[in-house]
Amino acid sequence: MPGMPFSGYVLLSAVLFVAGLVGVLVRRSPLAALMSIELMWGAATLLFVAASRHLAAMGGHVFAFLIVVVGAAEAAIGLALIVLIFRGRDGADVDEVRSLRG
Amino acid sequence: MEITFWLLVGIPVLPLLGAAATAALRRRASRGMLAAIACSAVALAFACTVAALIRFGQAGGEGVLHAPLWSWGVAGVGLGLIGDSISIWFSLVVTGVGLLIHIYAAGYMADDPDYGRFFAKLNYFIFAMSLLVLADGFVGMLMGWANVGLASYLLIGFWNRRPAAAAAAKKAFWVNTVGEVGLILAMLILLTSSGSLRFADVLPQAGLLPPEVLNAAALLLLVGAVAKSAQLPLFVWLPDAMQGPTPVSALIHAATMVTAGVYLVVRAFPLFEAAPWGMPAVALVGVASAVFGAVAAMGQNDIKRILAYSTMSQVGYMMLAAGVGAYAAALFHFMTHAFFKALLFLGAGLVIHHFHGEQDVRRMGGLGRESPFVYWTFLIGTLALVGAPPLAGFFSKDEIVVELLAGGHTALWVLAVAAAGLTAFYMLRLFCLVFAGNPYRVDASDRGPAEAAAAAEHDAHSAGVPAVQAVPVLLLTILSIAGGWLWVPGLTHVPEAFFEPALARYGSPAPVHAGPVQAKEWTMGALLLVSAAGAAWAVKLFGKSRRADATGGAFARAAEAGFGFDAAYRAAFVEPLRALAGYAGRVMDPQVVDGAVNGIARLAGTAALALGRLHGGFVRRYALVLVTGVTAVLIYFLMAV
Amino acid sequence: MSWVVAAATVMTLAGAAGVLRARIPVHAVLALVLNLVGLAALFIALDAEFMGLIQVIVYAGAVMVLFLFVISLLSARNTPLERRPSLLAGQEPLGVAVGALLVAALAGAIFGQPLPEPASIYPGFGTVKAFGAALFYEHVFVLQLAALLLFLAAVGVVVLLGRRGPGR
Repeated sequence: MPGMPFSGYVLLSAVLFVAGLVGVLVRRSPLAALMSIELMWGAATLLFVAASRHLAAMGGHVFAFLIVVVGAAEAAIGLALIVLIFRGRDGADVDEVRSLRG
Repeated sequence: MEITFWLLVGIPVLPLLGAAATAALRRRASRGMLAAIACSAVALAFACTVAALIRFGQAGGEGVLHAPLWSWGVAGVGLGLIGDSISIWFSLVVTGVGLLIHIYAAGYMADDPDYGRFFAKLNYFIFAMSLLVLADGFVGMLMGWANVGLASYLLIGFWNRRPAAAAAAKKAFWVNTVGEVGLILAMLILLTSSGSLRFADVLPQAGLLPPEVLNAAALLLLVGAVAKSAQLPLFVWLPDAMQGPTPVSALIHAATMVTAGVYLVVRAFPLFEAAPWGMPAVALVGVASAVFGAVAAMGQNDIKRILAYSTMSQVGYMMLAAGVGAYAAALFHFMTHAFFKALLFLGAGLVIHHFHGEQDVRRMGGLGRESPFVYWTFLIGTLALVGAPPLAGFFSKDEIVVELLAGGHTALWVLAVAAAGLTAFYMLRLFCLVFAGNPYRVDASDRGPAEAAAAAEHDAHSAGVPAVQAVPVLLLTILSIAGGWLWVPGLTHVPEAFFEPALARYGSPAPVHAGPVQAKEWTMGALLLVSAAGAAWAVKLFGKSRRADATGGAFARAAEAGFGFDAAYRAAFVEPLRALAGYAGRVMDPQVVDGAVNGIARLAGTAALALGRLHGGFVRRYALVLVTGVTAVLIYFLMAV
Repeated sequence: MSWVVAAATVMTLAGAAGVLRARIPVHAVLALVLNLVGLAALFIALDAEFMGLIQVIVYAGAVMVLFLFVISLLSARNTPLERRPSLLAGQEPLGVAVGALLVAALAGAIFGQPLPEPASIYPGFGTVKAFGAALFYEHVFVLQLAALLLFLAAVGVVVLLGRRGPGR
């Protein structure tokens, strides 16, 4: 009993994903950016689960599970990087990390 | 094969080495050493040519000596040397007469401070000219052609402190460039239409090309020939080119370079014959130049300009012969003309030295009594040019004019005979003014004492001609006498037999005999009669009394001005170009060109700043750009579907 | 649409909006938890019971606690960043505009073409048993790789944070 049509889930997934993307683009705090990425992970998971239900294939669940695993690993690494970069600094701003500048 | 290769390569390369050596040593080596290097380089080249001739004879006169040097990727575009009868004939004259003129120049230029530079350039010219005549394709010929033009420029402007010489050199170079452009365009047409630029590939299949292509190629080649050979209407550089040293005039502007156009026409004759307009155009240019040159020569007063217009006229004869298919006659006349015209120029050099730099024939006279050697040699040269039997010019000119009548070209025949009469007139006028009568003396009151003393001192020793100059003059005199005996009607026919295989290789130009059977007798009689009449008239006018401008004031002035050609070219090309150059210098360069350059620089700077702002190192901005791109791609695909 | 699914959808969207708008990091974490719980409810509605449980336990539980630890470690003293002037002019409106454009494009893509027909699910779909069968029978190699990835992530965190900084 899916509750709403498959296309509704897909659209919801797209909206959540873009919300995460916009969060990455507009938030200056690295923590907020990381949380926005978590939003994008969730959107992807939702799409897999919904598709799995739609097509009656358990493979989608396995993929969603793997996404959760990778998302957890990414969160751990990302938080470690944030801690590493900003340890000892007063505040954290994505825009202050500019070693990519040529 | 091996020896043949080195013989052919030696002909152009030895003078080139000589040029390099004299140029390198020109400040260190003595004058004698420099002259020895230069002369021996040309002498060795001449020896190579003779050896090649012998090899050629051993091959039965049928084969062709060929020395491929290299090729540039494109099939049929390459450089090689060819030794068939035409090119060997030409290089015999180039190196042989060139050698004599080198020897003469060793004495003539003895007082010049730039002795080494002169010989380097002279040797360089021999290199270029022999490359021109020996090349086995249009590419090599163009290389020789352009190098010859450069050598000519360098030699005409040898006395580079004289503005007139510099201007004449530039003029010659420009006019020759017009010809080169024609030549290059013709080569491009031939390359695209027949796929090759080697003579052996292009010429045999000339008849297969469409007529309009042939017309274009032939006429463009003719433009090149006309410019190089100083024919109508591109002759204007030749009279001015007499600003160069006299040996240069003898070598380049009489004996060799100006006949390059004749060489081109004869070499590419299958093209000209296959092209509907080819042969008539060549004949027309030839006869017009022959008559025009003779008329113009009548009105000149500078001894070298008279000879220059005479050269134009005689080369016109050669073109005329080539234009009616009498190639052997054209080549024969080329050789005899090289002999007697070189002789005349070298004699003119002696005359000019005798009158210490004076070149105006009206201020000469009485040289016959003062210098019998110059008198007799110059007389032989004059008579050879006029066509008095049994001298060289008689046989060669006769051969050409006979072919005209035999081929049925009656109008051309009449013009050619008339031009021969004019030739006799202007040559005898020149001769009488220089050698007959009383020596022209400037009033003593006109001269400063130093000048008078110098003149007197000069007069004292000028009677004798140094051996280094006398020997080449003497040899050329002998050649001017005997050179014509190679082809005496009914007795010998060396050129005809010599060229027959080379001409037959591309389809024999069988002479059409449409004219009267007694063409030979009529022609000989007419030529002798008209020439004698012209000569007699000139002797009557100028032999005793000195009527300086007896040919008429208006005519003389017109002739002096080159019959308006110079003015016309000046108005048509030089002034507009100068105006354009001025416009470019004042407006185009500072505003358009500089503006464009600065604008591009400013654009680059602005763009760099703008793009640099994108590269601020802000990861979020990068991400934004990335997402924008992804969105654009997505929208594009949605639109496309 | 059942009211459960509608409520869960509203929860996820509200949570996402909260993450975007929250000025204080702890509020953002709470909004994210709201989002994740909503997602878990959707999973259960989609017959993915096990995935819903995992989502709550792993994400809303463990990962979010990790976030809270880091926040409390780093930003206790912080003034909110957004009070300071931004170096990037126009980044926020541009980002929102591009995002809106992207949503519109994605919606066009979703509704612009037919989706596959739904398949009828078999009994036991999405249960722990079925999930375990799929994971350990069919995708066991992937599971090994995931385990390796987690291990490497743990090692990486230790390496990154265990190293002494250049200033110390």
